[in-house]
Amino acid sequence: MTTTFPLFEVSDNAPGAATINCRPGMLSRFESLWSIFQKLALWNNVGATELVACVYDQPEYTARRRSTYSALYRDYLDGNRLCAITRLTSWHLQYSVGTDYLICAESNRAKAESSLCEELRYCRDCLHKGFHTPLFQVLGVRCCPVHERPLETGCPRCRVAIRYVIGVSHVRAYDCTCGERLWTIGRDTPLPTLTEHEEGQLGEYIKWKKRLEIKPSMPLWASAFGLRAFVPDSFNSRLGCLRELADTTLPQNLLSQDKAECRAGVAWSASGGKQSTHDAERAKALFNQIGDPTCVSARFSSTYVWVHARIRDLLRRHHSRCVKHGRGLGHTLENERLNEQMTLLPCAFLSSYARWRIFWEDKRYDELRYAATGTEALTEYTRMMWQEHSAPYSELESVVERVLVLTMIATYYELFRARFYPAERDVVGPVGKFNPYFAWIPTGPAWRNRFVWWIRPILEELEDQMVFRCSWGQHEAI
Amino acid sequence: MTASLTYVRPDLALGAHPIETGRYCIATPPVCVLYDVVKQWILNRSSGVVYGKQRFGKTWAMKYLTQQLANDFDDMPIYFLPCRDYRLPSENSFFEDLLRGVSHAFTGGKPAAKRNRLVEFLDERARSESGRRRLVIILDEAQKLHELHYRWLVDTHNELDERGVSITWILSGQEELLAQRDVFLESQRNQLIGRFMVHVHRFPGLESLEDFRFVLQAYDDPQQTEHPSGSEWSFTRYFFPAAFANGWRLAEQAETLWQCFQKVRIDNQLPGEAQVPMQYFAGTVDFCLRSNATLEEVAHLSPKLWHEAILSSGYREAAIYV
Repeated sequence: MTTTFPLFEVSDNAPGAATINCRPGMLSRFESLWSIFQKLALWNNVGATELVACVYDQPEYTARRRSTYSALYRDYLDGNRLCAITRLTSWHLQYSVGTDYLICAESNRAKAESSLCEELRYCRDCLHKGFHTPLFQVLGVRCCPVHERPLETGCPRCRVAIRYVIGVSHVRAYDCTCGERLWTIGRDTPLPTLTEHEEGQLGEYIKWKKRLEIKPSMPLWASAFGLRAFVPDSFNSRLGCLRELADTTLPQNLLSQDKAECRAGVAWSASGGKQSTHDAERAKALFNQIGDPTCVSARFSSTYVWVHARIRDLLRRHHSRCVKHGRGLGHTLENERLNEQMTLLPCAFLSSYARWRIFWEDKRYDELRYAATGTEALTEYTRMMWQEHSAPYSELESVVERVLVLTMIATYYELFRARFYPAERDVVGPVGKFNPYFAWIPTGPAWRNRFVWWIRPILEELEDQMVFRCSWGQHEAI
Repeated sequence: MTASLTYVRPDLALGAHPIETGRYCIATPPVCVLYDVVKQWILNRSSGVVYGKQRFGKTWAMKYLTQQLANDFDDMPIYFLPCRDYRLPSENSFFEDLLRGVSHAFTGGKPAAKRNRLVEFLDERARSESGRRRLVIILDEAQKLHELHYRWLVDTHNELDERGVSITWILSGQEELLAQRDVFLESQRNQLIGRFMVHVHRFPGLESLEDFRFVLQAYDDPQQTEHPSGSEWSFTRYFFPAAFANGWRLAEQAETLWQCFQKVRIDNQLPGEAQVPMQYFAGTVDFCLRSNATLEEVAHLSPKLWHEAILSSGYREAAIYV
């Protein structure tokens, strides 16, 4: 008998570190802590209470034990214990909370908090794959970078907001209290949840967004609005963009288009730029016809079609009263007269529309004489979006709305300034650092505080709901 | 070779040596045989029963094998799950015990939740740790299991089987376990026999002088009883450094010790076979090493000392009353 074994010492400690059911292979790189916890709860057949007790209630915090913990931060989370019991690594948790996506979070917690949404925002396509990333909680991000789909909030059925927390308030994982199940895990759920390519797309977007945040030469408002700079490498997607460009008419013709043509513009935009709506063969032929897709008409006209139609529709529906006052606005190039009219306009939405239209009139005749803050921003943005011929239309659709909001904010601001501080029209101060939404506005600290105090609720309303309704009568001070 | 050995013992806290704590396990001939047998069962994907009398060291041997087999089978998950005694079988407490046995952090909830959690856990481990989709589960003190427990285990086995995970069950327990197997055989519970009790192996105590010599050699051999790790100090060398350097070995005492055990057995007319349970053997050697440790170049371990050590180990009382 020659078998020999090394000495086996029996430890007095517990037989092994406690573990729980976890499939690290089913978790993606940018997965949120919220999503990880929901999956852990599902895999272990436990409620959130047990999980929270397991990894949150450290001895030093026992005295102030909570029922819920925000999934936006790592406060109170025992990361080492979480890794130990789940076999997750720092790779999984590196981008698991909202502050991981904001560089400012390290130096300015308050600023980070104001940039993160405390209600669940999700991409429905991602949720179908059982994936959620804290990137969606960053307020500036409006679309899912992977699926190019606008982010949603609230339960799809009851529309009640779902708190972005980890804790006992959740009855079941990935569920709304009304019983709606956002995602159903199955034994045969494919692994991993996101493909490498999709993870790469997300990674590129996050890198770009962080770069925007730290690069002073970049306009800060762009990062606030979640603009994307990465280029989709899908040939179909590019062709689809080109086809839509080619299908639009020149700006000169657009201005005289009737309603039906304008509505046609709405139709293609509503398609969300999905590849399925594109005819690859036709697009390829059009690609050859276009020759130089960088010409001005190709770059700007399609945007105009959509915005023009949308604004006009909204104007007719919600702004009939102010339209009476602003009739004919934008059809003239007499800027001095326009400026006069602008200060008298009762409705900010109408002002925005006027500015937008003026901008296009200027483009039409290559006379960029009018340059208000909003149109400057719009110009810059439009140029950026179309430079590479890569802007996905779903993104464009939501961003155009945002640019309109931006224009409106600028208008509100100018009206406000003209009303209350007429003598200080030319005051230009440092860029505000407290909120990227307003960072682009040239204003001094004194201006900024009063302006923000006044504009913030309006901005939040617009950003959250995107409902363009005439506020004339509510803001008579203007 | 031996002349170069130093007498300066490794720095250890007082009472921290395994001989003093008693928390160690070394390979004995029955353990080596069991190792080969169980390894073969695992290779053949079949299950088996290991039975033996109490205090023979089955539990420790199983724990020992759990560690060794994990190395041999490329980190294949091997779980050692002690069974508990209950007056009435309860699904709730049974699966809770199993979850605790696999070191699961969540042992609460309803029985169905616990069962699902366990199945999910075993499935995940079988897939992730080695990729073989295989598991070995050792149920210690399996004679405490009721038929209901076996039925629940069958369900677990089947569910994992559906997921493509194969389990090798090793049941370890006292001789009642063999009787339990016979009952299952007689009552045609073939589904239980086929899954849990295909093979049978008897785990004996130390039965011969050769066994004694084999085990005592392990005390001398730094490859088997080196402590602290990397020190090259075997147990014998630690307690008799000068004598060990001088060429003295504990294995030389095998015959003396064997005769002492036989004498105790004959003098007290102890019943049963002439087997020495490992617990009392180790207790005897531990006592002897502890109380006769010396720095002299000659170790004086007389039969009287060994006799005293045997009595202090409780061997005589255990053999009479157990």
